[in-house]
Amino acid sequence: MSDVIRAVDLTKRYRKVPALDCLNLEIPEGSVFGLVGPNGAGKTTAIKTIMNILKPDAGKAEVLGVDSRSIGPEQLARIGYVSENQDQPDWMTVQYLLSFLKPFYPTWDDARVEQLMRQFELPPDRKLRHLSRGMRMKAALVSSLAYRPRLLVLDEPFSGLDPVVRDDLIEGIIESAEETTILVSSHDLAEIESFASHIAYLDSGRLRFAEEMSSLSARFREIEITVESTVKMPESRDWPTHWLRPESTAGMIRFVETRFNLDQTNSEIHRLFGDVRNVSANPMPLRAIFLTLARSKSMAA
Amino acid sequence: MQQAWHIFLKDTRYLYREIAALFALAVIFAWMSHSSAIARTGDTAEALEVLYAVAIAYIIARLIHAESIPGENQFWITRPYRWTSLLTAKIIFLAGIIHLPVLIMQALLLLADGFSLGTIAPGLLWTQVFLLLGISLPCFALAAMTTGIVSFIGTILVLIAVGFVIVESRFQSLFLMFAPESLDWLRYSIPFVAGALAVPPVLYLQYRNRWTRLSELYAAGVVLCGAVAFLFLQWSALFPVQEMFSKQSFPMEITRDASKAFVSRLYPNGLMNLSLPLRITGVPVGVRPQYEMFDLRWQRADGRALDLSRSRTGLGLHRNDKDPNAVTLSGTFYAGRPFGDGGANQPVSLRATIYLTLFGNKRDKTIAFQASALDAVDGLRCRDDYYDEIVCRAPFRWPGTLVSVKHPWGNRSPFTSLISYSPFPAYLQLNPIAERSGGPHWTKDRAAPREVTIESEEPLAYLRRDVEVTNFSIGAP
Repeated sequence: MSDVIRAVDLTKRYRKVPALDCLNLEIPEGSVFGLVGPNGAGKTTAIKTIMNILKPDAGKAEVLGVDSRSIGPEQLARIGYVSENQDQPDWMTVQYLLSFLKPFYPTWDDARVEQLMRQFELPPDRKLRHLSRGMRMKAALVSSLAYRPRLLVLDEPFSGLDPVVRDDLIEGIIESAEETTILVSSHDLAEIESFASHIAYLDSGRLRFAEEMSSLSARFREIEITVESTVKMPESRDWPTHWLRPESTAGMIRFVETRFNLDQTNSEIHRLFGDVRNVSANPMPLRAIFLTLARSKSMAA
Repeated sequence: MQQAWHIFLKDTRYLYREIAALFALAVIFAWMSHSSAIARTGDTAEALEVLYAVAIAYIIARLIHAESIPGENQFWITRPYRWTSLLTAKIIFLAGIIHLPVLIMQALLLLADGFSLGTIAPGLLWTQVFLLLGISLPCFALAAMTTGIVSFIGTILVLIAVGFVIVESRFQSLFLMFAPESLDWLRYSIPFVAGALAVPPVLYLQYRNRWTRLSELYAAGVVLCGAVAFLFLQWSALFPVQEMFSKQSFPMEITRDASKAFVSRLYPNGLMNLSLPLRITGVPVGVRPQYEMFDLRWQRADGRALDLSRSRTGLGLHRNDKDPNAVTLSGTFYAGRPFGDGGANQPVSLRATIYLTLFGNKRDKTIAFQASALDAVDGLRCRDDYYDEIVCRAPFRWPGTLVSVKHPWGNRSPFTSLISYSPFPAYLQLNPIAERSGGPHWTKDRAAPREVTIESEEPLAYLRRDVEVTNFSIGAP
């Protein structure tokens, strides 16, 4: 499977402050790639740099096999881009927006447009400026899915939307996932989790990890150990670095294992705590993983 | 081209209200101009012209900001627009919506006034060039460097304020003090030249690469250079450009007239009296010299320059009415105390550069003196007006020739002696008709004639000649 997007040491600075610091990323074809991270993590900067909206200060990115700095009409005809911050030609009606964009795309599919218009219940004769935020986002999505792009880039598409609209958008995105590689940035982790096949975590401009969702879910576990009350917490220097957010109460020790492997984790637990009464390893939702990483970082800071 | 046309159609739909308003303004202007000469020449016409220029600037800004160049969030930058198509679409709009209506309106007004298409064609085209360089392209470039109408208007206001300060500054006063008005067009061409130099690279940088910072720096540099040239370039430095527009060459010479006394007196109070009689040779019969200006350079015997005639108030070129080939550079002016308390008798040299225009090629046409206009000379159409004066109209601008009415009783009266030597057949203005009235005021004692003769003579050559007087003493009174 080839990579639709590949970033190598991609760096972008605002004045001298790095907003994106040596980003290395590969997004395989056919994936739904979720880019997550707290506000100000550099998600939008990463996407804009990859899309050639911003010029990188160092490193490079390739999109659909082309250097991002050379992205032109030929590539953009195969890329859909929807962003919460994107200005729209508000004076256009939904119908006119679509008919205006149609000649730009050789692969424009009227049937697909009709189907999406019905699915999203978009009023064709309404001007964009008279649409709600959610409806505007839907219109933008229709205009980007209508030509069946090979790559769909979504920058915070769910931000500020009500749950019904979010579900509608996700449904539309999922339907396209069969033929389109999707890069979606968001801090709405529950939504990302529901359809992303890959996930990358960006923080302070640096990529903390990027992997398949199944692998991420498999390696993060919330561990609860029931011990004798006389057992003490080990010294911090003995604490494995991949065990995050340790907590202890009487007879109970909790932490987050970031490299969960049943045998290996058990063996380390026994090495540190000796015989324990009980060990439970609970799968974590993405939101919990995200919070763990964010808080671990702030504690470290 | 298909994509450019598609974007153009979108833009016309987007701006249809503004376009309708602009067309309405053009129609109002045309109707007022055609129906009333007063409306054409008065404050109303000026107000309408300013309003039209503002409307053009506004529409261009809205047009360009529909796909604004600076910024990161415009919808079009992630769509497969070709930059050449986008630029072409905007140019088509400028040509079809901004320029073509002006051309049509001016052509209709002139044709309705009886001018032939052949006469008005160069002026029509040059008006378009000036409109392009003076308004359309600068607004285009500025809009391409701004994100919205607010920043566009803000920048325009700042530029207007700076331009006003420049024009009204003391530098301009100094310039005007020594510059013949006929040559003003050279200085006022500088902004157009700056526009022509600034705009194409800015548009290329913006539409090709969206390099706004570089574009801003380049544009600011050109504007600054233009402002410096406008302020500090002496008219004598611009004169060689005017010389290039000479139609003939003449073996004309100006020498010191040795038959008359050369007088130079420096008074203790710093005033100096100078009288330098000059004689002109080589001017053929039928050609008349008109003195435009002079420069004086004083030098001591050791070669050092003397700043004697910085203030030339009082000095002038005086013609001899009886002898057209004689002229005297004379007058009293403040020279200061160049040698301190003594040494006024030290030898000095004076080099005078005389700038002049040779007029000739006289022609005339006698036309019936009637209420409806008839073709006269130099593309003029003349008629009797309600006040029994001759009224002549020219397409776009008053001709660069000296036009006068020959009275039935012998003498002549010029329409104006303040003509521009600009070689262009038009200025940047919406009103395509220049009008002047003049000639005799018929009275009860003098009945209106049945016909009048309109005469003109044209500038044939623009010349400068040096006259040197060496090794003389300024002398004491």
